[in-house]
Amino acid sequence: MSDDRRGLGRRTFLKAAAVASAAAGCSPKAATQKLIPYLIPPDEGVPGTPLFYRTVCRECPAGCGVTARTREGRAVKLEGNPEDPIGRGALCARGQASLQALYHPDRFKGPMRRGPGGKLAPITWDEAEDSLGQALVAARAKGPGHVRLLSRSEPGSAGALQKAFLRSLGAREEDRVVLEPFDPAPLRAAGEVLFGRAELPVLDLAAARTVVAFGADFLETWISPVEYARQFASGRGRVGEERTRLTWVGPRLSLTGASADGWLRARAGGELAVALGLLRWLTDPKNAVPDLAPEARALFARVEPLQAADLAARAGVTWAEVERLARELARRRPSALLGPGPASQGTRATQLAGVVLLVNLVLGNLGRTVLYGLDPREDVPSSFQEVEGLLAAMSAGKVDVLLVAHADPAGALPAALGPEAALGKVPLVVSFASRPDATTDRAHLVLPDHHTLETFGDAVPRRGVVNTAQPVMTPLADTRSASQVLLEVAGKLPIEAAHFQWSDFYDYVQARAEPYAAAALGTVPDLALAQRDAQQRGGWWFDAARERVTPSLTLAAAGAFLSLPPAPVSGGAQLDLAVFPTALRGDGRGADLPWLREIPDALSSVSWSPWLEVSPATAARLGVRSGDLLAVSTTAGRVELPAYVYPGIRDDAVGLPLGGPEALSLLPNAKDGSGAFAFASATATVARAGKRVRLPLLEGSPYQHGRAITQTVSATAPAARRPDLSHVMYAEPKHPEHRWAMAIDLDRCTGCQACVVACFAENNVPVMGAEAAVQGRYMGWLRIERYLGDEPGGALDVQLLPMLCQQCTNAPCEPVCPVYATYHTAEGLNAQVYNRCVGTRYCSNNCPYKVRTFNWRDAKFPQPLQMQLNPDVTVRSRGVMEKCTFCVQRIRYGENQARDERRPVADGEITPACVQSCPAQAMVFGDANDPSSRVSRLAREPRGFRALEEVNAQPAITYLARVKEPEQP
Amino acid sequence: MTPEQGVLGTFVRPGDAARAVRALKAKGHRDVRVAMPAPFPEVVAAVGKPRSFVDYITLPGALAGLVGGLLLTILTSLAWRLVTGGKPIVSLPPFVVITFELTVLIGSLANLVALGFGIGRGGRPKHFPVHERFNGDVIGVFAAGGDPGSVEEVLRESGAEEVTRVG
Amino acid sequence: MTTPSFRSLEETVRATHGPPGPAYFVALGIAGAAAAFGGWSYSLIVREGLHWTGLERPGMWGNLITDFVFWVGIAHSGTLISAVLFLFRARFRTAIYRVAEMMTVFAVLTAGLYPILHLGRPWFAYWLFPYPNQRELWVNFRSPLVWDVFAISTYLTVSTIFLFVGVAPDAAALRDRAQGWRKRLYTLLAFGWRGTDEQWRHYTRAYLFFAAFATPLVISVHSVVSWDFAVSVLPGWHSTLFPPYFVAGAILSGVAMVITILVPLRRAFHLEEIITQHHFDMLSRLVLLTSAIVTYSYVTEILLAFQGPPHDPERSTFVYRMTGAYAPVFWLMVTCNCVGPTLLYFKAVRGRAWALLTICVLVNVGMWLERFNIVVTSLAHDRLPFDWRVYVPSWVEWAMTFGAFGWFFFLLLIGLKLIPPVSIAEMKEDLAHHADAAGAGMDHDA
Repeated sequence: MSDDRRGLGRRTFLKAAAVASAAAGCSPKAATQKLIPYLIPPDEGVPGTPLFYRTVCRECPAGCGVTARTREGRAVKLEGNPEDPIGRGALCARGQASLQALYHPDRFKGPMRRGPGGKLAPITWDEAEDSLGQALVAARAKGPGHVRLLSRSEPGSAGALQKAFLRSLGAREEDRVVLEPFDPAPLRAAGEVLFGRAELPVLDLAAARTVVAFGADFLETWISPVEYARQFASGRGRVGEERTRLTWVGPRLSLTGASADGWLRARAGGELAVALGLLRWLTDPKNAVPDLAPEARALFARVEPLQAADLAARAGVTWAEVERLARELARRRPSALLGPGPASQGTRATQLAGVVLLVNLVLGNLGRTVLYGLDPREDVPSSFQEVEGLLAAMSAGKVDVLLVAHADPAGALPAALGPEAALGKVPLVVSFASRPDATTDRAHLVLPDHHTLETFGDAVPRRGVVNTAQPVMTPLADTRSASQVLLEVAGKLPIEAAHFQWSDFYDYVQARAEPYAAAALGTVPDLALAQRDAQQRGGWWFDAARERVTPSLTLAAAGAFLSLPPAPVSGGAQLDLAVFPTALRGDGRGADLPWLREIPDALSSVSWSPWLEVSPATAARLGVRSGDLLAVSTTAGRVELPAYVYPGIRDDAVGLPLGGPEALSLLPNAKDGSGAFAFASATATVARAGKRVRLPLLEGSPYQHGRAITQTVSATAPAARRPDLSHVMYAEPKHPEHRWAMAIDLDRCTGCQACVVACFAENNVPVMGAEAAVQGRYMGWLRIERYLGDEPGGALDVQLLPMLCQQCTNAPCEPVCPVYATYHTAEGLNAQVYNRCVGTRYCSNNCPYKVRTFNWRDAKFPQPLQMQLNPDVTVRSRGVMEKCTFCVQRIRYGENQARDERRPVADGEITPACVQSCPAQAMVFGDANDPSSRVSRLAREPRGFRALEEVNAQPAITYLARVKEPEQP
Repeated sequence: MTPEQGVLGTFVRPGDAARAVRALKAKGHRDVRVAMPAPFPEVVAAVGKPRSFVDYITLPGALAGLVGGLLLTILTSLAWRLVTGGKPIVSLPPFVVITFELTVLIGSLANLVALGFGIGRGGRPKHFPVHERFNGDVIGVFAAGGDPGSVEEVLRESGAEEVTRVG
Repeated sequence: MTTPSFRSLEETVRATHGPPGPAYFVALGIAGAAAAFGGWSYSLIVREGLHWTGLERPGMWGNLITDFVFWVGIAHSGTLISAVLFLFRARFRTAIYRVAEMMTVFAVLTAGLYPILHLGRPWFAYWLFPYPNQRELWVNFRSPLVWDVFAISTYLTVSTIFLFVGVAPDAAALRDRAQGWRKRLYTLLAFGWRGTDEQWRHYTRAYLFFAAFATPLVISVHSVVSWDFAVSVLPGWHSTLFPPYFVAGAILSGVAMVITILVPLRRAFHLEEIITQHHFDMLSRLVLLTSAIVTYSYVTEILLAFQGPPHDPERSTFVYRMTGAYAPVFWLMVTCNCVGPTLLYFKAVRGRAWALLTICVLVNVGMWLERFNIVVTSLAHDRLPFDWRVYVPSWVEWAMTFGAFGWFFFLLLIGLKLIPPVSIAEMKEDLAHHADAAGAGMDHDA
């Protein structure tokens, strides 16, 4: 995407906004008519020309800005908003996949009421709103607490409106419960205890030279993964002292841990002991750690009694390992210690958070890498205690009307809390969900909300950042913005207080924008115009530096956190159940999106199925291989899961991904001091179930078998090994204009798979399903090859290698094709001409990288998912070979733009979808003919090497070796 | 149609037939023709006719295949220069394979055509009296023209099974 | 008398064309059914795509390509026996080369199907032939698959011509004593043959040329097939050893198949007088020789692979072949192709029809497995370990594999009833010499 496109977007935005805002309010009939092909196309909708709209992602509380590319009135791809300070143009896998929620075949087509037969039957919006209104009036009459609202965190107008709506009904503050399963509540709680600030710190990892993550998967789901991945990566990709080092602490090596330089194999719950150990060592005067915070001495007095041996025992690691990490922290400053994350959020999560903050404090990280005062506290999620309170009230029949807005209590809460039973007790459950979920199965009234891409709104992820949402296309079905519904219902209520002055949610959003406008622009002559301009750019952004505070510690409070944790309970038959979030599954709200199910997990390479990670030793003890079913039992329940043998987990633990019903049914109802749910609290017994399933695994062998496919460099040996290819048989073919090439920095790549989703979306890569995955017929053009080590049983050495077509100069796939279906273009691309291909499949056999995928059968794009298909890319038919094209359609687009403006293509102007989406900016694309282009410079780096270079296919992709410094003693 | 007139003798042993042919030739009979179920070398030798013309058709055929193969591969590659695998547009080693196959193919077809002519020419009823057993178990020796009497005599002496005058 | 007369020879041969018995129809039925089922299974692939196969990345070739190479191999001995042995004036070929040639033609007809059947879009198979088209696109002559197209079609044409040219004099002999449709058929096949000296003159000359063309063709065709693999960059495929190795293998499997067919044929058609123990003895020696060459190739291949460094992909591929998921295939192959034929050193074994038959059938199994071993194991264990997968053929592929045997034997059974399975003319030539040597006469109706 290039700036001039946005220019066009700007000129035409006013019309678009007007049209869309009209659509938001006007009757659904009119809305759907707009999907009929234009007889006289409006100016902004030039057929074949994309339109870009700025909006915001609501898949997680991070609130990244989004640029939605639309074609002929349909959103076809989501990318980050380059102007947004959070995402800076990148978007994570789940954010991009939310496009499939828009086109999900199961989406509700309109409002529905559960009839006497217990079936949901369509009704009109007027009926729906009236019946809701009556129910509300009746419930209100019974006094406060009878109308409750359960919502996801809505840091913006939607949340504000919900509050106002409830207030107008005379409801109390606590009647609105905010459900965010992964909310790091302990961090808030600890902040409140230590500094009197119940806030989430905002991190600046770019400034940190050492990062220690205590189970905080900040490269996958934790708080703001896209932003943190970018910050973290900015310190990577270089050799020597300046490089940011990451240490992962926890029982299981997560994908975030895969980017780490060290892994402290603390047992489940042992992170706390590690943190205490660090605090003790660092504050210990005899270690003479320079320029510590003044509080250090006093803190040492508190931690002195803790014995190193006890801490080490509690942590399940040797004291030497703790000391090594402590030394590194003492030496490399500033640093950032992060935690806890869901994986380490146990019954003592708040204590862990507290100690982590204290270590940050003594190292002087507060105010440098860990910033306070920027949490907007717009819509702080409720603690699980409050959620339980709500469920109790429901079960007790004290709730007459429960409004559920984008929260799925039945599907997202641990079964141990018994949400389904509670729902059953509520006379009227109203769900605003746009797709069926466990809650809508029990809802009496379903008022499907617009998708974020169909409605106005805003999100305030932090002070100084207000990302705005706007409709990028007319609604697909007879849905209506939940906020709009609340406004309309309120308007019909016989309650004076409920008659807001806004009849349209857009006006409400605009009204709330006033302070933002003031902060961003100073004086605001015309708010409406300013608001539209902001929406066009994607938000209000203003400097909030003055909001920053350096919190002051109240020592007395700290004491509470500095006690020795109890000895571990697990052992013997009991294994720690190490649940963990993954970049694709998240908290499970996208679990039904085809892309997220089809794309294999980056670490286990499993798709379409949950799995249970067991260490090789455990597997041997149980006598199982990957794919054997294991029966996992906890105090909460019993589930059978296929085993996946993973050397990256302790022998006394088993790993289970969150984001599915399995984990929820196994987790007992445990909470930590702050009332946050304790994910990392369960122990489980694991036994063979005797059965075996064909696990959809992408990996063949996870080992490199001594072939040195990926390389690592270090300060002592900064150059990658390259074979001698000086003997050439043929002159290199001419590339007169461009020679497109790519560089992939393996030191930055985090395996987040944003690039993979981007590729699926951009190139109409089909989703083939679980059976195909089992048969090894995954169609992805780009896969993350993950190697766990050199030889089976050898040392664990996780290496990620994004593998896509290498666009070789001497492509082995080309000469073997009898019909010229693949050949080398003048721009250096390895072209694949689908309609020439007869499907001999020799090209794939002869491809050393095995990056070609074959259409074994015709792909299916169930209605209306086919509306997402990118019109610029052919949908391949059965029997033809396909592969990565470096997004040739985007290349042509960029070249044509440049040609129209009579200028050369600027370096970095053209980006394939994968490169565009990469949060870590690990992928760089450009013209190898231009020696000054970024990609050429990277290709000349000593870290550069090429995959299987000895084959001499001369790939256009240069990998930059991962940096692996030897551990300091 | 009846063959030109002459005398036909049938033999059982290839040796006798050969002897008959040689005897007739010795007596100055230019035109002695034979029909036999198999190419008995001694008979063929006795008849001793010039080389077959097949050579003059087959060899040019093979050469045509060779040239055609080279032209086909080179010209079509140049017609639309598509680079594959960084190899030259005209990469002769692979073209040699095609050229060889075409040489053999066209050569064989030419050979077949030549054989067709040969069989047609040598199979005219006028050329030789039809007698089914010549494909079966006897050898026919036919002397066209000349003095029938002497021919009959020669044939009988050589051990002909039966001798008949034709035409 | 010891040797049959011309007439009795013809009678013996003509007898093979007599009204078939129930056994024949049973065999024909089984073969036809197998072919039909294979065809139906293939229709699944045409209708719904190759997902009916067990193929997946990295193993994009499997049973079907194995079948292709196998049948091309079978096709080889035919021309070898008729052409090469003709040039070497090996007299023992006379009695058996006709069956070998029929086998060749039908085997090529079988083999030729597979490159088409295994395509993703078989309805565009004709794009592999160079013809002027509005896309102005010709074929990529650098692709071994195009070499295949030329090699196979040339081989089919030449071997068919060769067969029918050889048939012409015999057809004439049969024509003169046949009635009804057979008369018309043999008149057609006789090609206007009358046996005059001039016809024989051209005929012998032309036949010599055919033999001269066919001989290098045989070598080239299987070399080309081997290049399908040898020109790739895949460890286990990329080997200069392949052409001779494949040719030897082809001859081994081909001769084994000839024996497999001749043993029952001789019994069924009462050709004991014509196809004698001597012939089997010579053929067995040929099997023995080629088996030795094949064994040598196996060893060389493995030794060469082990020249590489310990983690060399090629070396790893060969270790995988011998110890990996496909190890049973490898060792069964060795047993059938290397160990089994050594028994033929013993005259006693060569002399026993059933022993010979068993060994040769096993050789054919072994040779199929060899091709499977080459095609599949190399793909399953390529350069990037992350992509390794074990390919298992689906029932559809098996149905098509056995369908091929059905189709081949169906054609052969029909062919045997129409074409004289022994070259009458050449037998007569031999007989005549036999007789002269014996000084005996040839009485007309013995």
